[in-house]
Amino acid sequence: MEKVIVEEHKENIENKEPVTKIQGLYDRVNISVKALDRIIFGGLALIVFMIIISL
Amino acid sequence: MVFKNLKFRINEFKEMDSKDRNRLIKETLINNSLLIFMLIAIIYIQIQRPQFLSRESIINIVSLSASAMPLALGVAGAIILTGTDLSAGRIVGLTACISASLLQAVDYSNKMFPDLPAIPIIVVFLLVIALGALIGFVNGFCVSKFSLHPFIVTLATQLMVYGVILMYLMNGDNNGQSISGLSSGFTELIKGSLFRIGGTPVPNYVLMAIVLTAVMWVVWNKTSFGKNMFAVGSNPEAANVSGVNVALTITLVFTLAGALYAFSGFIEAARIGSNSANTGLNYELDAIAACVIGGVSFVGGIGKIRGVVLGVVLLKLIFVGLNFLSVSVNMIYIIKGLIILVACAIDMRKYLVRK
Repeated sequence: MEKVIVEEHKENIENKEPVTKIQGLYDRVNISVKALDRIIFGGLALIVFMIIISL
Repeated sequence: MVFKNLKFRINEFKEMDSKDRNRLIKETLINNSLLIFMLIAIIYIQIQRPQFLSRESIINIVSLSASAMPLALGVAGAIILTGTDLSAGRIVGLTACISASLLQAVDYSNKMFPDLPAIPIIVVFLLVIALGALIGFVNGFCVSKFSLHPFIVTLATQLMVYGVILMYLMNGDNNGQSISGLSSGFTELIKGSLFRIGGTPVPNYVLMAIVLTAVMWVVWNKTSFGKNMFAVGSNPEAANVSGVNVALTITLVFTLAGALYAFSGFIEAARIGSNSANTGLNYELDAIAACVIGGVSFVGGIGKIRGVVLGVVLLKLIFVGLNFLSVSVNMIYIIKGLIILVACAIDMRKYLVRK
Protein backbone atom coordinates (compact mmCIF):
# COMPACT_ATOMS: atom_id res chain seq x y z
CA MET A 1 0.00 0.00 0.00
CA GLU A 2 2.71 2.44 1.08
CA LYS A 3 4.78 1.44 -1.95
CA VAL A 4 1.92 2.35 -4.27
CA ILE A 5 1.45 5.70 -2.56
CA VAL A 6 5.18 6.42 -2.79
CA GLU A 7 5.07 5.52 -6.52
CA GLU A 8 2.16 7.89 -7.04
CA HIS A 9 3.90 10.77 -5.28
CA LYS A 10 7.40 10.04 -6.57
CA GLU A 11 7.63 13.42 -8.19
CA ASN A 12 6.68 15.24 -5.01
CA ILE A 13 9.11 13.16 -2.97
CA GLU A 14 11.91 13.97 -5.34
CA ASN A 15 11.03 17.64 -4.90
CA LYS A 16 11.32 16.97 -1.16
CA GLU A 17 7.69 17.85 -0.50
CA PRO A 18 6.30 15.80 2.38
CA VAL A 19 3.62 13.31 1.41
CA THR A 20 1.76 11.56 4.18
CA LYS A 21 -0.09 8.28 4.02
CA ILE A 22 -3.36 10.07 4.76
CA GLN A 23 -2.80 12.41 1.82
CA GLY A 24 -2.41 9.41 -0.46
CA LEU A 25 -5.57 7.78 0.82
CA TYR A 26 -7.43 11.05 0.49
CA ASP A 27 -6.40 11.16 -3.17
CA ARG A 28 -7.91 7.73 -3.65
CA VAL A 29 -11.24 8.78 -2.13
CA ASN A 30 -11.13 11.92 -4.24
CA ILE A 31 -10.79 9.89 -7.43
CA SER A 32 -13.99 8.02 -6.60
CA VAL A 33 -15.80 11.27 -5.88
CA LYS A 34 -14.68 12.62 -9.25
CA ALA A 35 -15.93 9.46 -10.96
CA LEU A 36 -19.27 9.82 -9.21
CA ASP A 37 -19.44 13.47 -10.30
CA ARG A 38 -19.07 12.27 -13.88
CA ILE A 39 -21.90 9.76 -13.41
CA ILE A 40 -24.13 12.44 -11.86
CA PHE A 41 -23.56 15.08 -14.55
CA GLY A 42 -23.43 12.52 -17.35
CA GLY A 43 -26.70 11.02 -16.15
CA LEU A 44 -28.41 14.40 -15.91
CA ALA A 45 -27.15 15.34 -19.38
CA LEU A 46 -28.45 12.03 -20.74
CA ILE A 47 -31.89 12.65 -19.17
CA VAL A 48 -32.03 16.09 -20.84
CA PHE A 49 -30.94 14.52 -24.15
CA MET A 50 -33.62 11.81 -23.89
CA ILE A 51 -36.32 14.39 -23.19
CA ILE A 52 -35.16 16.60 -26.08
CA ILE A 53 -35.10 13.78 -28.66
CA SER A 54 -38.52 12.55 -27.61
CA LEU A 55 -40.19 15.96 -27.87
CA MET B 1 -36.11 26.38 16.03
CA VAL B 2 -35.80 26.14 12.24
CA PHE B 3 -35.07 29.87 11.92
CA LYS B 4 -32.50 29.72 14.75
CA ASN B 5 -30.75 26.88 12.97
CA LEU B 6 -30.85 28.80 9.68
CA LYS B 7 -29.44 31.92 11.34
CA PHE B 8 -26.64 29.86 12.87
CA ARG B 9 -25.81 28.39 9.48
CA ILE B 10 -25.79 31.81 7.80
CA ASN B 11 -23.40 33.13 10.47
CA GLU B 12 -21.20 30.07 10.06
CA PHE B 13 -21.16 30.66 6.28
CA LYS B 14 -20.20 34.32 6.74
CA GLU B 15 -17.26 33.38 8.98
CA MET B 16 -15.79 31.00 6.36
CA ASP B 17 -12.93 32.05 4.09
CA SER B 18 -13.63 32.29 0.36
CA LYS B 19 -12.09 28.86 -0.43
CA ASP B 20 -14.29 27.02 2.11
CA ARG B 21 -17.29 29.04 1.01
CA ASN B 22 -16.82 28.07 -2.65
CA ARG B 23 -16.35 24.45 -1.67
CA LEU B 24 -19.53 24.47 0.43
CA ILE B 25 -21.53 26.03 -2.43
CA LYS B 26 -20.16 23.44 -4.88
CA GLU B 27 -20.93 20.54 -2.53
CA THR B 28 -24.47 21.82 -1.86
CA LEU B 29 -25.14 22.23 -5.59
CA ILE B 30 -23.87 18.74 -6.46
CA ASN B 31 -25.68 17.06 -3.53
CA ASN B 32 -28.95 18.70 -4.57
CA SER B 33 -28.33 18.54 -8.34
CA LEU B 34 -31.18 16.10 -8.96
CA LEU B 35 -33.68 18.20 -7.02
CA ILE B 36 -32.49 21.38 -8.82
CA PHE B 37 -32.78 19.57 -12.16
CA MET B 38 -36.31 18.41 -11.34
CA LEU B 39 -37.39 21.89 -10.29
CA ILE B 40 -36.00 23.34 -13.55
CA ALA B 41 -37.82 20.59 -15.48
CA ILE B 42 -41.09 21.40 -13.67
CA ILE B 43 -40.69 25.14 -14.46
CA TYR B 44 -39.94 24.30 -18.12
CA ILE B 45 -42.98 22.01 -18.40
CA GLN B 46 -45.18 24.66 -16.80
CA ILE B 47 -43.96 27.26 -19.36
CA GLN B 48 -44.57 24.85 -22.25
CA ARG B 49 -47.93 23.52 -20.96
CA PRO B 50 -49.59 26.10 -18.69
CA GLN B 51 -52.33 23.61 -17.69
CA PHE B 52 -49.66 21.38 -16.03
CA LEU B 53 -49.94 23.10 -12.66
CA SER B 54 -53.66 23.86 -12.87
CA ARG B 55 -55.79 23.06 -9.79
CA GLU B 56 -57.17 19.82 -11.29
CA SER B 57 -53.71 18.67 -12.35
CA ILE B 58 -52.19 19.40 -8.93
CA ILE B 59 -54.98 17.44 -7.21
CA ASN B 60 -54.35 14.59 -9.66
CA ILE B 61 -50.61 14.63 -8.83
CA VAL B 62 -51.36 14.74 -5.09
CA SER B 63 -53.79 11.81 -5.49
CA LEU B 64 -51.23 9.75 -7.40
CA SER B 65 -48.61 10.56 -4.75
CA ALA B 66 -51.01 9.61 -1.96
CA SER B 67 -51.65 6.17 -3.44
CA ALA B 68 -47.90 5.52 -3.67
CA MET B 69 -47.06 6.98 -0.24
CA PRO B 70 -47.71 3.95 2.04
CA LEU B 71 -45.61 1.79 -0.27
CA ALA B 72 -42.70 4.27 -0.24
CA LEU B 73 -42.86 4.58 3.56
CA GLY B 74 -42.62 0.80 3.88
CA VAL B 75 -39.73 0.47 1.43
CA ALA B 76 -37.92 3.36 3.16
CA GLY B 77 -37.78 1.33 6.40
CA ALA B 78 -36.16 -1.58 4.56
CA ILE B 79 -33.63 0.76 2.87
CA ILE B 80 -32.70 2.34 6.23
CA LEU B 81 -31.69 -1.17 7.33
CA THR B 82 -29.30 -1.22 4.30
CA GLY B 83 -31.71 -3.57 2.59
CA THR B 84 -34.45 -3.31 0.04
CA ASP B 85 -37.85 -4.89 -0.60
CA LEU B 86 -38.61 -6.29 -4.04
CA SER B 87 -41.82 -8.00 -2.93
CA ALA B 88 -43.64 -4.69 -2.26
CA GLY B 89 -45.42 -4.46 -5.64
CA ARG B 90 -46.61 -8.07 -5.58
CA ILE B 91 -47.92 -7.75 -2.01
CA VAL B 92 -49.88 -4.70 -3.23
CA GLY B 93 -51.21 -6.85 -6.10
CA LEU B 94 -52.23 -9.76 -3.87
CA THR B 95 -53.93 -7.61 -1.23
CA ALA B 96 -55.66 -5.55 -3.95
CA CYS B 97 -57.04 -8.71 -5.60
CA ILE B 98 -58.21 -10.16 -2.26
CA SER B 99 -59.83 -6.85 -1.23
CA ALA B 100 -61.55 -6.56 -4.60
CA SER B 101 -62.81 -10.17 -4.63
CA LEU B 102 -64.28 -9.94 -1.12
CA LEU B 103 -65.82 -6.52 -1.69
CA GLN B 104 -67.61 -7.06 -5.01
CA ALA B 105 -71.18 -5.77 -5.27
CA VAL B 106 -73.68 -8.46 -4.17
CA ASP B 107 -75.74 -8.04 -7.37
CA TYR B 108 -72.73 -8.06 -9.74
CA SER B 109 -73.24 -10.75 -12.41
CA ASN B 110 -69.58 -11.89 -12.79
CA LYS B 111 -68.82 -12.26 -9.09
CA MET B 112 -65.73 -14.27 -8.23
CA PHE B 113 -67.55 -15.99 -5.33
CA PRO B 114 -71.26 -15.87 -6.29
CA ASP B 115 -72.52 -17.23 -2.95
CA LEU B 116 -70.43 -14.89 -0.82
CA PRO B 117 -72.58 -12.58 1.33
CA ALA B 118 -71.66 -8.91 1.86
CA ILE B 119 -68.65 -8.68 4.18
CA PRO B 120 -68.05 -5.56 6.33
CA ILE B 121 -65.29 -3.40 4.82
CA ILE B 122 -63.39 -3.21 8.12
CA VAL B 123 -63.14 -7.03 8.28
CA VAL B 124 -61.63 -7.18 4.79
CA PHE B 125 -59.30 -4.29 5.65
CA LEU B 126 -58.01 -6.04 8.79
CA LEU B 127 -57.69 -9.32 6.89
CA VAL B 128 -55.50 -7.86 4.11
CA ILE B 129 -53.41 -5.85 6.60
CA ALA B 130 -52.80 -9.06 8.58
CA LEU B 131 -51.88 -10.91 5.38
CA GLY B 132 -49.43 -8.16 4.29
CA ALA B 133 -47.89 -8.11 7.77
CA LEU B 134 -47.52 -11.91 7.68
CA ILE B 135 -45.63 -11.82 4.35
CA GLY B 136 -43.50 -8.96 5.71
CA PHE B 137 -42.84 -11.02 8.84
CA VAL B 138 -41.58 -13.93 6.71
CA ASN B 139 -39.24 -11.52 4.89
CA GLY B 140 -37.97 -10.01 8.14
CA PHE B 141 -37.60 -13.38 9.88
CA CYS B 142 -35.51 -14.82 7.02
CA VAL B 143 -33.33 -11.69 6.89
CA SER B 144 -32.73 -11.44 10.63
CA LYS B 145 -32.55 -15.09 11.74
CA PHE B 146 -30.75 -16.63 8.76
CA SER B 147 -28.69 -13.53 7.86
CA LEU B 148 -29.86 -13.73 4.26
CA HIS B 149 -29.62 -10.66 2.07
CA PRO B 150 -32.97 -8.81 1.82
CA PHE B 151 -32.55 -8.60 -1.98
CA ILE B 152 -32.65 -12.39 -2.36
CA VAL B 153 -35.27 -13.01 0.34
CA THR B 154 -37.70 -10.43 -1.08
CA LEU B 155 -37.01 -11.61 -4.64
CA ALA B 156 -38.05 -15.13 -3.57
CA THR B 157 -41.14 -13.77 -1.80
CA GLN B 158 -42.01 -11.68 -4.85
CA LEU B 159 -42.09 -14.76 -7.06
CA MET B 160 -44.04 -16.80 -4.52
CA VAL B 161 -46.62 -14.05 -3.99
CA TYR B 162 -47.03 -13.70 -7.78
CA GLY B 163 -47.74 -17.42 -7.98
CA VAL B 164 -50.31 -17.07 -5.19
CA ILE B 165 -52.00 -14.17 -7.06
CA LEU B 166 -52.28 -16.24 -10.24
CA MET B 167 -53.72 -19.18 -8.33
CA TYR B 168 -56.10 -16.94 -6.38
CA LEU B 169 -57.45 -15.44 -9.61
CA MET B 170 -58.36 -18.94 -10.83
CA ASN B 171 -60.64 -19.45 -7.81
CA GLY B 172 -64.44 -19.49 -7.89
CA ASP B 173 -66.06 -18.42 -11.15
CA ASN B 174 -63.28 -15.97 -12.02
CA ASN B 175 -61.08 -18.16 -14.24
CA GLY B 176 -58.12 -15.76 -14.19
CA GLN B 177 -60.02 -12.64 -15.25
CA SER B 178 -59.72 -9.17 -13.77
CA ILE B 179 -61.82 -8.53 -10.67
CA SER B 180 -64.21 -5.61 -11.05
CA GLY B 181 -67.76 -4.62 -10.05
CA LEU B 182 -66.78 -3.44 -6.59
CA SER B 183 -69.41 -2.49 -4.02
CA SER B 184 -70.35 1.18 -4.01
CA GLY B 185 -69.64 1.43 -0.26
CA PHE B 186 -66.01 0.41 -0.80
CA THR B 187 -65.34 2.68 -3.78
CA GLU B 188 -67.11 5.56 -2.02
CA LEU B 189 -64.95 5.07 1.09
CA ILE B 190 -61.72 5.30 -0.92
CA LYS B 191 -62.54 7.44 -3.96
CA GLY B 192 -65.33 9.56 -2.47
CA SER B 193 -64.45 12.97 -1.09
CA LEU B 194 -65.19 14.72 2.17
CA PHE B 195 -64.17 18.14 0.85
CA ARG B 196 -63.40 20.01 -2.38
CA ILE B 197 -60.75 22.54 -3.31
CA GLY B 198 -62.20 25.14 -5.66
CA GLY B 199 -64.88 22.71 -6.85
CA THR B 200 -62.44 19.84 -7.49
CA PRO B 201 -63.06 16.88 -5.16
CA VAL B 202 -60.11 15.58 -3.12
CA PRO B 203 -60.33 11.78 -2.77
CA ASN B 204 -60.51 10.29 0.74
CA TYR B 205 -57.36 8.24 0.20
CA VAL B 206 -55.36 11.49 0.16
CA LEU B 207 -56.53 12.13 3.74
CA MET B 208 -55.73 8.51 4.64
CA ALA B 209 -52.20 8.92 3.23
CA ILE B 210 -51.70 12.16 5.21
CA VAL B 211 -52.80 10.49 8.47
CA LEU B 212 -50.60 7.46 7.74
CA THR B 213 -47.60 9.70 7.01
CA ALA B 214 -48.14 11.50 10.34
CA VAL B 215 -48.35 8.16 12.17
CA MET B 216 -45.15 6.97 10.48
CA TRP B 217 -43.40 10.22 11.45
CA VAL B 218 -44.25 9.51 15.09
CA VAL B 219 -43.11 5.88 14.75
CA TRP B 220 -39.79 6.87 13.17
CA ASN B 221 -38.97 9.84 15.40
CA LYS B 222 -40.72 9.43 18.72
CA THR B 223 -40.66 5.72 19.54
CA SER B 224 -37.84 3.48 20.73
CA PHE B 225 -38.63 1.16 17.80
CA GLY B 226 -37.88 4.01 15.34
CA LYS B 227 -34.64 4.90 17.10
CA ASN B 228 -33.62 1.22 17.16
CA MET B 229 -34.32 1.03 13.41
CA PHE B 230 -31.88 3.87 12.70
CA ALA B 231 -29.32 2.41 15.12
CA VAL B 232 -29.48 -1.01 13.44
CA GLY B 233 -29.29 0.61 9.99
CA SER B 234 -26.20 2.65 10.94
CA ASN B 235 -24.25 -0.09 12.66
CA PRO B 236 -25.88 -3.40 13.66
CA GLU B 237 -22.91 -4.51 15.80
CA ALA B 238 -22.86 -1.26 17.77
CA ALA B 239 -26.65 -1.45 18.18
CA ASN B 240 -26.36 -5.04 19.43
CA VAL B 241 -23.68 -4.08 21.98
CA SER B 242 -25.89 -1.18 23.11
CA GLY B 243 -28.65 -3.62 24.01
CA VAL B 244 -30.85 -3.29 20.92
CA ASN B 245 -32.56 -6.52 19.85
CA VAL B 246 -31.34 -6.41 16.24
CA ALA B 247 -33.24 -9.47 15.01
CA LEU B 248 -36.54 -8.26 16.49
CA THR B 249 -36.05 -4.76 15.05
CA ILE B 250 -35.35 -6.08 11.54
CA THR B 251 -38.36 -8.43 11.72
CA LEU B 252 -40.65 -5.63 12.94
CA VAL B 253 -39.48 -3.20 10.23
CA PHE B 254 -40.30 -5.73 7.49
CA THR B 255 -43.61 -6.66 9.17
CA LEU B 256 -44.62 -3.00 9.35
CA ALA B 257 -43.56 -2.58 5.70
CA GLY B 258 -45.76 -5.56 4.73
CA ALA B 259 -48.74 -3.97 6.53
CA LEU B 260 -48.09 -0.68 4.68
CA TYR B 261 -48.00 -2.47 1.31
CA ALA B 262 -51.31 -4.08 2.20
CA PHE B 263 -52.73 -0.64 2.99
CA SER B 264 -51.58 0.48 -0.47
CA GLY B 265 -53.19 -2.62 -1.98
CA PHE B 266 -56.49 -1.91 -0.24
CA ILE B 267 -56.48 1.64 -1.67
CA GLU B 268 -55.37 0.48 -5.13
CA ALA B 269 -58.19 -2.08 -5.30
CA ALA B 270 -60.82 0.67 -5.20
CA ARG B 271 -58.76 3.28 -7.05
CA ILE B 272 -58.09 1.08 -10.09
CA GLY B 273 -61.49 -0.63 -9.99
CA SER B 274 -60.38 -3.58 -12.12
CA ASN B 275 -57.69 -5.73 -10.48
CA SER B 276 -55.64 -8.36 -12.27
CA ALA B 277 -52.34 -10.23 -11.80
CA ASN B 278 -50.57 -7.14 -13.17
CA THR B 279 -51.79 -4.89 -10.35
CA GLY B 280 -48.76 -3.64 -8.42
CA LEU B 281 -46.27 -4.62 -11.14
CA ASN B 282 -43.02 -2.63 -10.70
CA TYR B 283 -44.53 -0.45 -7.97
CA GLU B 284 -41.53 -1.22 -5.76
CA LEU B 285 -39.16 0.36 -8.31
CA ASP B 286 -41.00 3.68 -8.16
CA ALA B 287 -41.01 3.49 -4.36
CA ILE B 288 -37.26 2.77 -4.21
CA ALA B 289 -36.57 5.63 -6.66
CA ALA B 290 -38.71 8.02 -4.58
CA CYS B 291 -36.86 7.05 -1.39
CA VAL B 292 -33.41 7.52 -2.93
CA ILE B 293 -34.42 10.89 -4.43
CA GLY B 294 -35.75 11.87 -1.00
CA GLY B 295 -32.38 11.20 0.63
CA VAL B 296 -32.99 7.77 2.19
CA SER B 297 -29.50 6.34 1.98
CA PHE B 298 -28.61 2.82 0.85
CA VAL B 299 -25.61 3.13 3.17
CA GLY B 300 -28.12 2.70 6.01
CA GLY B 301 -29.37 4.60 9.04
CA ILE B 302 -30.17 7.80 7.12
CA GLY B 303 -33.60 8.98 6.01
CA LYS B 304 -36.45 11.29 6.90
CA ILE B 305 -40.20 11.10 6.41
CA ARG B 306 -40.22 14.54 4.74
CA GLY B 307 -37.57 13.25 2.31
CA VAL B 308 -39.76 10.27 1.35
CA VAL B 309 -42.79 12.56 0.86
CA LEU B 310 -40.71 14.97 -1.25
CA GLY B 311 -39.30 12.09 -3.31
CA VAL B 312 -42.74 10.60 -4.03
CA VAL B 313 -44.29 13.97 -4.99
CA LEU B 314 -41.31 15.03 -7.16
CA LEU B 315 -41.25 11.72 -9.00
CA LYS B 316 -44.99 11.91 -9.74
CA LEU B 317 -44.63 15.56 -10.79
CA ILE B 318 -41.91 14.65 -13.28
CA PHE B 319 -43.81 11.70 -14.76
CA VAL B 320 -47.08 13.59 -15.05
CA GLY B 321 -45.10 16.48 -16.57
CA LEU B 322 -43.44 14.18 -19.11
CA ASN B 323 -46.91 12.90 -20.06
CA PHE B 324 -47.99 16.51 -20.54
CA LEU B 325 -45.00 16.94 -22.91
CA SER B 326 -46.18 13.78 -24.75
CA VAL B 327 -42.88 11.98 -24.08
CA SER B 328 -43.32 8.32 -25.08
CA VAL B 329 -43.91 5.74 -22.33
CA ASN B 330 -40.87 3.76 -23.53
CA MET B 331 -38.67 6.79 -23.05
CA ILE B 332 -40.10 7.41 -19.58
CA TYR B 333 -38.74 3.99 -18.50
CA ILE B 334 -35.24 5.03 -19.63
CA ILE B 335 -35.54 8.38 -17.85
CA LYS B 336 -36.78 6.60 -14.70
CA GLY B 337 -33.72 4.34 -14.76
CA LEU B 338 -31.37 7.28 -15.23
CA ILE B 339 -32.99 9.17 -12.34
CA ILE B 340 -32.41 6.15 -10.05
CA LEU B 341 -28.78 5.87 -11.22
CA VAL B 342 -28.08 9.58 -10.62
CA ALA B 343 -29.83 9.49 -7.22
CA CYS B 344 -27.70 6.49 -6.14
CA ALA B 345 -24.50 8.21 -7.35
CA ILE B 346 -25.38 11.33 -5.32
CA ASP B 347 -26.10 9.16 -2.27
CA MET B 348 -22.73 7.40 -2.61
CA ARG B 349 -20.95 10.69 -3.19
CA LYS B 350 -22.37 12.15 0.03
CA TYR B 351 -21.16 9.05 1.89
CA LEU B 352 -17.64 9.24 0.45
CA VAL B 353 -17.27 12.97 1.13
CA ARG B 354 -18.46 12.48 4.72
CA LYS B 355 -15.98 9.64 5.14
